[in-house]
Order: sequence, then structure tokens, then C-alpha cells
Amino acid sequence: MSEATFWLLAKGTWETLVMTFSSGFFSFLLGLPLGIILFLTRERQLLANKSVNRTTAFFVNIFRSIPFIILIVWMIPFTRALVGTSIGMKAAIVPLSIGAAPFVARLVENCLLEIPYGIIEAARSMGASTVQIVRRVLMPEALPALVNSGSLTLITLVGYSAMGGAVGAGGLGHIGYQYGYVGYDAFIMNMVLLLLIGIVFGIQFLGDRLSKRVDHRK
Amino acid sequence: MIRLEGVHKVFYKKDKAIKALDNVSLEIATGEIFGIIGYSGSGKSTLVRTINLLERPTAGDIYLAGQAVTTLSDKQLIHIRRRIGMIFQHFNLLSSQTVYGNIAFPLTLTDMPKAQIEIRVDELLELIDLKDKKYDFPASLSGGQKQRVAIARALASKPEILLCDEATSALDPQTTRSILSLLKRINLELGITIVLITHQMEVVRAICHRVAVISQGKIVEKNSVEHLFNHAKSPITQELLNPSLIID
Repeated sequence: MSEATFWLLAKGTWETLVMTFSSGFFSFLLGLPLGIILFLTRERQLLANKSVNRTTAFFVNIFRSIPFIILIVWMIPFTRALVGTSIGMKAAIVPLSIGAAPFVARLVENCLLEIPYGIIEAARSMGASTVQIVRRVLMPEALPALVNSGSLTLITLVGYSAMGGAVGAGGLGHIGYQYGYVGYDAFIMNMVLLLLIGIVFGIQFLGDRLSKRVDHRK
Repeated sequence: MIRLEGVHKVFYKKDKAIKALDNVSLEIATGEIFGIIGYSGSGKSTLVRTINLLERPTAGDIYLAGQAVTTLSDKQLIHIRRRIGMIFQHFNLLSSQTVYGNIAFPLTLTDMPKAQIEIRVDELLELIDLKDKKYDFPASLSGGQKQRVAIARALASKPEILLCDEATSALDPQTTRSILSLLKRINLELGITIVLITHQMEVVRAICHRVAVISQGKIVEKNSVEHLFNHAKSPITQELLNPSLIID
């Protein structure tokens, strides 16, 4: 491997990691509250409210229906307004975060549904407010499941960010596109593949370990 | 202490009205252990949940220590609920918290200083005899130990009333006995009024002073425990007194 190739791949890996983790962070920033709203406004839950629940679910479903590659292109004007450019790593983080947020919202809702209702009822009986129940009961009780959802989201984002590479997002996806689709370089293609696999395995491994550490259910 | 006047509760399931409580009136005295017995679906769980307003009655009034609570807002209810402890069939402990964290939980909801919480939790651990499990997680405890922790948690904020919803139904007879004797001790030593929901007549016999029999949302019989055992009037009470698993 030439030094140039090495640095090309190193830079690509770095960019993919930055895109994955920062959009993972932002997608949770958006998706976590959305998921909590979806859960709390469900029938018979603390803030049961059919219209809020339906409206939130409607927008979540719309954004989940848009194929990611279309979303990136569609969002270009918005991305440009927000970060000043529509190409490169920084620009890709915008659609990646928006694209993953509804996915995260649904994952969070499912994590919260796993908590036995009796635990919420017990907290209510002790005079906990809704905010206290969310912060002190729902979040810690769902933590192991939330960590798993985090790894799942990050892995999905590795894939999304690679897709984004085709439309100027940078990272390993971009290298794969340039050296594979435009002119086939078997060595670089294989390296890109191996690196992507390595990243995914690494995220899953660390996620599983972290989830186990915070899980006291058995 | 606790007075229910003409309490109704109707649930709606797809436009179908289900009467869970039908004109229930009860009076429970301070320091009493009051049993409410009935089969599953009789409305007894709904009944106990109206006392701390986990379920708001559709109609009727509830008075706690003379104060009408049915008209209170959710915010005001928080203060009422801190004066009423509750334990459950499935314990409902926080799996993410240690024994200490669970017992401290209701206290951390208020602004109680940490040092004071620690003292209170240690007192309670002494009461339930689980000092050596202070930093264990609930998953490592037996059913009886979990219920003890739940009792300590319910007592943490020094309530006047303890509601027990099928608290011994998931426990074996031996463990049931030890939990019941703990409840009896709490009643005697701390003077806490206990309302106990169950479908087991032995539980009523063991610790209750008075008992109400509930069926299809109605109180069908109400009496002192001795009297009920000697002069059961309704067929449901007789069936509860002489349960039989013989299939004919």
C-alpha cells in the first residue's frame, strides 16, 4: 500500500466515523424527545392525547418513508442555509441527523414500551411528577435498551453515510464510489469494504459491552 | 380516616361502558387493617386505586382525614400521594436501582438532603431486616425480599395509609406469612392504616380487623372478620370462605 493510499483510507475512515457519531448524537437529540412524546401521549399513558400522538406519528412516518438518498438531495437548500455548503462531511451530517431522527424516535418509543406499566404506576403512587417519571424512572429503566438502540442507529448511519458518499458526503462511501464506480480499483474497494465491516463490528462490540454493563435486570 | 361516598368508575372500551365500581361507600378508621376481598375482575384493584386517585372516580367523593380529594388538581394530588404508601403484587421495584436507591426514591422526589435520606433508609433497612442487601440490585433478591424492599419504599415518606394491592399473591405461603407479620407489626408499631386487597381468605383471616366483600363492582358484604367468618350472608362470601377446586 502506498503512503498516499494509506492516508486516503485513513482520512475516509475518520470522516465516516465523524459523520456517523456526530449525526448519531444529533439524531438522538431530535429523536429522543420525539420518542418520549410518542410514548407518553399513547392511550392510557401519562399524557394520553390522541391528536398529539397522531400528528407526531404522522411526521415521523413521513420522514421514515423518504429513501435516504432522496432526502439528501431534497434537503440541499436547507443544508446549505444551515451550514453554508451542501458538499462534504459537515453538510452530510444535516440530512443524516434528520434522516435518522424518526428512526430513533420509534426505537425510543419501543424501548419505553418494554418497561412494565406497574413501575410507572408505583412512581405515580409515590407522588412523582411526569417530568420526574421521565427522568428518574423511564430513562434509567430503559437505559440498556436505549444503548442497544444507539448501536443499531450508529450502524444504520454507517450505511447511510456511505450512501451519502455518492452525492458528495465524503468518507469511505465517497472513496468507494470514486475508486469503484468511476474506475475500478480492486485493492481500494476491498479495503473500503473491510474498513466498513470493521467499523460496524466495533460499534456492535462496544454497544453490547456497554449495554451489559448498565443492565441490572438479571 | 378514609371515606368513600357513592363511588362509581366506568371504563370505556371501544364505546362499550364497563362498570368497574358501582356505588361503593366505605369508611375505614384510623389504625385499622381493612381487607377488601373479591375475585379477579370484581373491581377491587380499581377500588384501591381510587383511594390515592391513580384512578379518578367517574362519580362520588373520597375523603382522606376529612379532606375531599376528588376535586384536587394533579399537582395537589402529588402531596396527598406522599401521605399514602402503596405496594403491589409484582413489587414494581426499579431494576436500575439498588435496594438503597429504591427505598430512597420517594425521598429524592422531594428536596430532602442526602444525609437525611441516608439515615431514613438505614432505619427502614433495619425495619425490614435487609441491611446486608443495601447495595444489591432487586434482580438478586427473592420474592419475599423484594416485597420487603417495596414495603420500606412505601413507608419512606412516613405515610398515614398503606395500600396493599394483592401484595402476597405472588408469594409462597411461608413468605406470605412473614410479609403479613411485617404488615401487622407496621400497623401496631407505626399506627399506619392499612387497606389490603386480596382474593385469599387466609390473608384476611390472618391480619384484617374488618373486611368488605366486593363482586361486580359492588360491596356485597361488610363486617368484622370474626363476624364474617361465622355469619357469611352472600353466596360469594361463602364461596370465598370455602374455596374448592373440585370440577364437576
